[in-house]
Amino acid sequence: MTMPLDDRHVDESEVLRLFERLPEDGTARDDLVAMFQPLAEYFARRFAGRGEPVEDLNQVANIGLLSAIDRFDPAREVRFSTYAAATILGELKRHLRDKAWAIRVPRPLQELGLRMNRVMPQLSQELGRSPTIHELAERLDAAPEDVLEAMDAAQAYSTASLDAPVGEGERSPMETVGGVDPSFELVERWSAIAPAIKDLPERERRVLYLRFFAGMTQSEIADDIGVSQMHVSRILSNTLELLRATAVSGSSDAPLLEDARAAGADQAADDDEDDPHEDASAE
Amino acid sequence: MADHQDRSVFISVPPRTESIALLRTVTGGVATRMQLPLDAIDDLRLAVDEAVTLLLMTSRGASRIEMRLDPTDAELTATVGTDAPIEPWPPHGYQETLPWQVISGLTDGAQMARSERGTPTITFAKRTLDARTT
Repeated sequence: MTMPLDDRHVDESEVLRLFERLPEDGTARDDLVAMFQPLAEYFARRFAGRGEPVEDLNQVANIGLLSAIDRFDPAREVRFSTYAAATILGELKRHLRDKAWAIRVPRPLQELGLRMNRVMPQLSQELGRSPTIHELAERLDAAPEDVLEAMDAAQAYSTASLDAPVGEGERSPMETVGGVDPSFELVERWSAIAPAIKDLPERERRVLYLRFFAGMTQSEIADDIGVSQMHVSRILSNTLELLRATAVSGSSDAPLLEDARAAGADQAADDDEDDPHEDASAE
Repeated sequence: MADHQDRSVFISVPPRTESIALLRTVTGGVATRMQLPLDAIDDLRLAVDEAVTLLLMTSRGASRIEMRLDPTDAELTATVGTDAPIEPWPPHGYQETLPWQVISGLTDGAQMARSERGTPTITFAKRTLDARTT
């Protein structure tokens, strides 16, 4: 399996030239699509094996790519590869959330998941740490296997795309506004290996910082930022996935990452999650 | 209960992205039977995800991805690897890569090594509650 793009394949100035020609030159759009097709396919493959045909996933990823091309603003200081990665990822997650997972999670599991969400904070507080599955199962009067399954289902079911608004009154995670935050150290240390880090929204950066640099557990982070542990878990996995897709090799002699990483760079900032992108699929 | 038995679980899957979810599930299944808090299980599963993705992206010519889980009273150790060599291994400068930062940041005692067959492995563990309090 090879990965998307790296700096050998994507010439950033060429990308910008194509975007300049875009308004009056139809072939520019085709060129951009061809150039970033591997990125779309990469993400489609990442979601294979969850009950959705790969062709469908490819199509959804392509819709994401087209809508990224249509909505990208070259004037922003964000590389298109990052913007496209975030948009494609968001499109796929939204698709799976809406079309597949919601249908496939059996009702009893959904209910167990909801009960679990209620019981978890209480139990965590009593124990002073995150409960084990046994403790949770006992409290819920359910089998440990069912609890595990409900956790996975809840994770899948409510998987928020990175550009989905995360809660009432909250900014979209991708709505990057920078600002001062204590995770500066994280940005410093990780910017070479995962350039997208510096454009992550503050909350996402804070979660990474607390987990990887302050050594806090997910439950402790949950307390700190005022969300559930499962929410922290989702933030971590979504953010790491985005960083992974947009990471670049740190040094030229890192065969480890050769052809394995997206061209990655700066973060996309985008918000209109509910845009159905009808326009993007016409071509 | 003493650990006088080999409780290890071994699984071999095709080198495809679909396998990642399966290995995460197996890890969760084994971890469920241990004294591991939920967030530790989640860390372990994220690390499995990261390690397997790394192997999938790096290895050429591998026909299997293998994972071994060793539960003891003190910890759950995961070892993932492929059946084909990756050279060099560990890769130059791997400490300064995102996968390594993630795996070593989430787990205890992470290391890249080789199996007796010379194939690449990534090993990491998560300590149980029993091990933390004693």
